[in-house]
Amino acid sequence: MKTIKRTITPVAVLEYYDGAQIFEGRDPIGGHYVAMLIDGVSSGVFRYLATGANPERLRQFRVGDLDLLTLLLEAPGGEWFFIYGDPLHGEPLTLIPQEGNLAEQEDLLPGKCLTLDDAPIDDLAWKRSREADNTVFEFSLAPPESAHSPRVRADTLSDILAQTQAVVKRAYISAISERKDRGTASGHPDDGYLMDVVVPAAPGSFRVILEAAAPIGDPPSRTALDPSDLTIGLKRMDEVFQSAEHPDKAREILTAHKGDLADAYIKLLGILAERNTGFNYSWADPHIPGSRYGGVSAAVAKTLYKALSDSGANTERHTPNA
Amino acid sequence: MGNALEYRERLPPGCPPDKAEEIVEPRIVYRLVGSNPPSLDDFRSQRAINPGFEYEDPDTECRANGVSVFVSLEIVNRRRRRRRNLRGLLICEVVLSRGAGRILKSGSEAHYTWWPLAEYDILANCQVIA
Repeated sequence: MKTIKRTITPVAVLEYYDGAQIFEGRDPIGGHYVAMLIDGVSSGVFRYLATGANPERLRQFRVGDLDLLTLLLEAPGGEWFFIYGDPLHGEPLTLIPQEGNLAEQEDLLPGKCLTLDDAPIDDLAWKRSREADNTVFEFSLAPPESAHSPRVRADTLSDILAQTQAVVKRAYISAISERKDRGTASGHPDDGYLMDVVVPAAPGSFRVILEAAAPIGDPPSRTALDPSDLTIGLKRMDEVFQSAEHPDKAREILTAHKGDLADAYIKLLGILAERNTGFNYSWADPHIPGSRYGGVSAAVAKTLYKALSDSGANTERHTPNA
Repeated sequence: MGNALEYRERLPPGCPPDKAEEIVEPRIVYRLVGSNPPSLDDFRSQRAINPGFEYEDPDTECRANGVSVFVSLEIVNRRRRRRRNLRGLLICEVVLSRGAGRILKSGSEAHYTWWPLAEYDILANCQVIA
């Protein structure tokens, strides 16, 4: 009897540490798979444990709502495989079927509660900010409708886009009100409408790229030592997102900022929680080395939204000076 | 002025990329190592360990020529605890300061790739903490 060789093609590296630790693949008929490195970086032979995965459950894993152990043990038909090879080459990898019950292979399985810390995002913002010589902000989403193909509900996209703009705007107002107090602000009131969508959805995904409405070169002398108010506002937004896993710290930071930043941020968290999607962004300014990153998983958005809403963090805001 | 930087490992052209930040201000990162005290083998790149497996994609190849580090102790600890292939490793706190090389955020939030300069005394700046 002829045995048919089964393969998968790697489509995304979900966790990286000296090589791909966890990756996602597709078989030739579109079936979804997840694979985890068992051993190999130091030996030079990469061996992965792989199983098929329900697309929605795989999405839940990607956004931090499901742990890897559960995902692996839910494999359709209980099938599990070894893969020998390196997914970073992007070439099809052969699935080698294994016998026995995967749940009993304790030496192969990950620990409990292994969730992804966040979804990786490529550095499109950095490239585009250099090309456009302007501040560029990129974000990606992973709502339930994206489980099978790269898509997003129009109302989810519009709500999150509008609320992201609101968070950026509030952070910006917070930044310029402080700088005005010190007489260092350069912002123009019209800059409150900070970002234009320049690529509504990049091909093959629902990433959204925004660019500063006012060119970064205004005034032309702008440098890393004299950042724009928008850049300062975005750094402020980073601070808020960096505290996402620590509700007490998040509350402290939100109440410390002037303006309605807390309201806008909590509202964005509410939308993310309701639409069950993570939110990851990167932004870049041509005068600053590298990109800055931030975001929250769907799971963290839910927890934080509840914590901040329950504590009334958004009612303790300061009144903007501007 | 001949100011070409000499990296610890031979890097492909264009690596590290311009967007990688030159380390000037001191900062702390975390790396998983196999022994205490650690050895320089703990700081070999994936490419140094596996020569001859070059990637076609220059970004991927460049990253393989660097060393993975984390900027969050919490996340590196969590990864180690939950991954069987990392569980036996130790966490080394590495102080990077001027002359350490270049660093770039790559992959998830706390993961960075570090390209050390040849002159940087890695072991003198690395202390196993857990």
